[in-house]
Amino acid sequence: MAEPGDEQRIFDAYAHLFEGDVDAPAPSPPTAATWTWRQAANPAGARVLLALDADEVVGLVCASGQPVLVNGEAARISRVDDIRIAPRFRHALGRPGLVVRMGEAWERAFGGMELDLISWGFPTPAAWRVLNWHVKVQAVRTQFKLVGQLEHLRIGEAGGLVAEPVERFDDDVEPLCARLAEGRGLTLARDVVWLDWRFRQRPDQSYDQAVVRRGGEVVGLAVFRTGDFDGDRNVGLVCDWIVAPDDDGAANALLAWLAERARAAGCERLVLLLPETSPDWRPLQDRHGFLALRLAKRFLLADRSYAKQMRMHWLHQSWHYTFADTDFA
Amino acid sequence: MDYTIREYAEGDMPSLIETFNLVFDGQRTESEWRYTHEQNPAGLRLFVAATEDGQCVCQYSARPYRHWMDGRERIFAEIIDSFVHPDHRAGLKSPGIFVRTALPFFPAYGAAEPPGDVVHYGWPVEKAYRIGQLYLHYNVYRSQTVLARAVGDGPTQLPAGVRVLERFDAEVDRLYERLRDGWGTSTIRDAAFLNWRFVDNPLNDYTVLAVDGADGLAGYAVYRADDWLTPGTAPIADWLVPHNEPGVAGALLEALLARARLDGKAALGLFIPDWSSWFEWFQRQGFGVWPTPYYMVGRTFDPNHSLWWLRDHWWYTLADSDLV
Repeated sequence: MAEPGDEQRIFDAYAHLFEGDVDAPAPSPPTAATWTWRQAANPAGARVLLALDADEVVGLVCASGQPVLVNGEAARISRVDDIRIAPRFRHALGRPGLVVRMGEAWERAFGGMELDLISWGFPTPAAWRVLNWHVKVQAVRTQFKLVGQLEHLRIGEAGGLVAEPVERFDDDVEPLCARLAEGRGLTLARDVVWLDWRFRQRPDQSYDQAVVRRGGEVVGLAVFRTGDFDGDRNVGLVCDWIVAPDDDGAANALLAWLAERARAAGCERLVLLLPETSPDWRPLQDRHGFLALRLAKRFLLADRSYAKQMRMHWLHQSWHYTFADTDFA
Repeated sequence: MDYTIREYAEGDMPSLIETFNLVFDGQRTESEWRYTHEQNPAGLRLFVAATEDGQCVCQYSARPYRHWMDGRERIFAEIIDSFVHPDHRAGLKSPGIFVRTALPFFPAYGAAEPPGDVVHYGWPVEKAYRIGQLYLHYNVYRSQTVLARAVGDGPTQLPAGVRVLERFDAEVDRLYERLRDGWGTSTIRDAAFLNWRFVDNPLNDYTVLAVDGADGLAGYAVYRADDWLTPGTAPIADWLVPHNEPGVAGALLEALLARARLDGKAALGLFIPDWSSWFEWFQRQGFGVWPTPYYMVGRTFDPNHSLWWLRDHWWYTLADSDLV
């Protein structure tokens, strides 16, 4: 595991560990601020594993801990953002070498019933081939994006409800998040601490946040920013979407706010990331005019499970997530 | 117990049918078995495990299809109807007779070059997938979704210009040849395949709806008046329409909806690859994208056509499956 003081050599490692990756351009090294935010400040804890050859970093796995609810019980998982091996330590499929040893070390450090139930991510094809073959990473789904062209969006009456922009979420959003987590097998445990860390404290992005109240009670929240995604420039990213699937009024109020924000930013479409098994999928598709389109550049949603329950088919059916769970938005 | 694991041989059929009907609580007949395995114009793929007294207690089999890929014919094979007699099953943790029967199947039939099968694929149930992943190198092509929509109120008569096609002929060969190079790979939808798959199929009844153009057959869709996936949802088993023929597509969709209403069906559903422009077109016609319990899985034997390539270039519909 990485230790305090390893930061600079991790940043340096980004420059050479991504050489020769044909699937994805090398990411920019994290800044000190984003690194601190993602790791040390993460309320669910740091997840970094290094492989060292003498003092040189030759293998790197960077992840983010995530607090979740599994059938209502608190647990943790981790999202793997970067996994790389130095070119000279990459072997053909028959000689996995370092990647297997790092997979084993990762499981010892972070995987298990009392630790992370799964580690997951969107591996590139090259990474997938190795991880699937040698590290028991399994495919959960081929991911779609839900795309709503602003000119085709169907936004109905909100019944007098209005989305109110907020600087930060207060704890009055927690009952809604808890209520909607019920019945969803695996979902992020959203509380104000996590929401504040995810959206307000992030140093390299800024987000617009809004809530909808009915009689003083929060019945919906959404988070918005503009950005590039999956080859599309300047789209309206619906970074989080928390509203009861049958609450048309709250959904219409949030969509009206999101569409207004998108138009103001010169966007032509809104984009969400949801599993097609989510209860939120159907209203967005049926009532509001979103289309499901395949992801051009992000491949399989895949995971390594460390708990028996976290089978591929169960995760496919029971895992609810949004852009908030990912590092895409 | 000792088993002989080998390719299918004359004389195995009665025992295989007996075990099949026991496992699936079915009534499969000899003619249905012959249709599936012997009359397939692309051939037969079947391994069995037999006991000393000749009882066939395990089958690992596939349905091959002639494919068009890289300007020449290849073979893809769909794993179907694989089973083990309940008295001969092992747990998941140790490779039992099912795995031992399947293991020689792949090197026997899979190969990068003809006459070998370039791809073995299927939509297994969860347990079969887990065994396949553990022991047989199954890999996931995609989590399978279905496009589906309610039929709603409307006419029950076929619209003008759409007719019921009783049998495919050389016109469909020409239609397919016009379209095949627009896809990376696809089952060759010629009259031989389509008549075997839909017209002469003793397992199910299908209705072929067709639209003619100035140069002959301009497009067709295959409908089946049975429930699939959910009660009241009728499958569209195949769809072959040029992308630049929205009028043909619209007429066929109206005909499918009319036929479904006539049969008292509530919805229509179909498989369309998500890379195809038809995937978006159907959504614009009111279809939604829904999950299914299936993963499309398989093995590829050609390193030049990885599962990633196949995911983005393989035109397939329910016609390429035994699901309907």
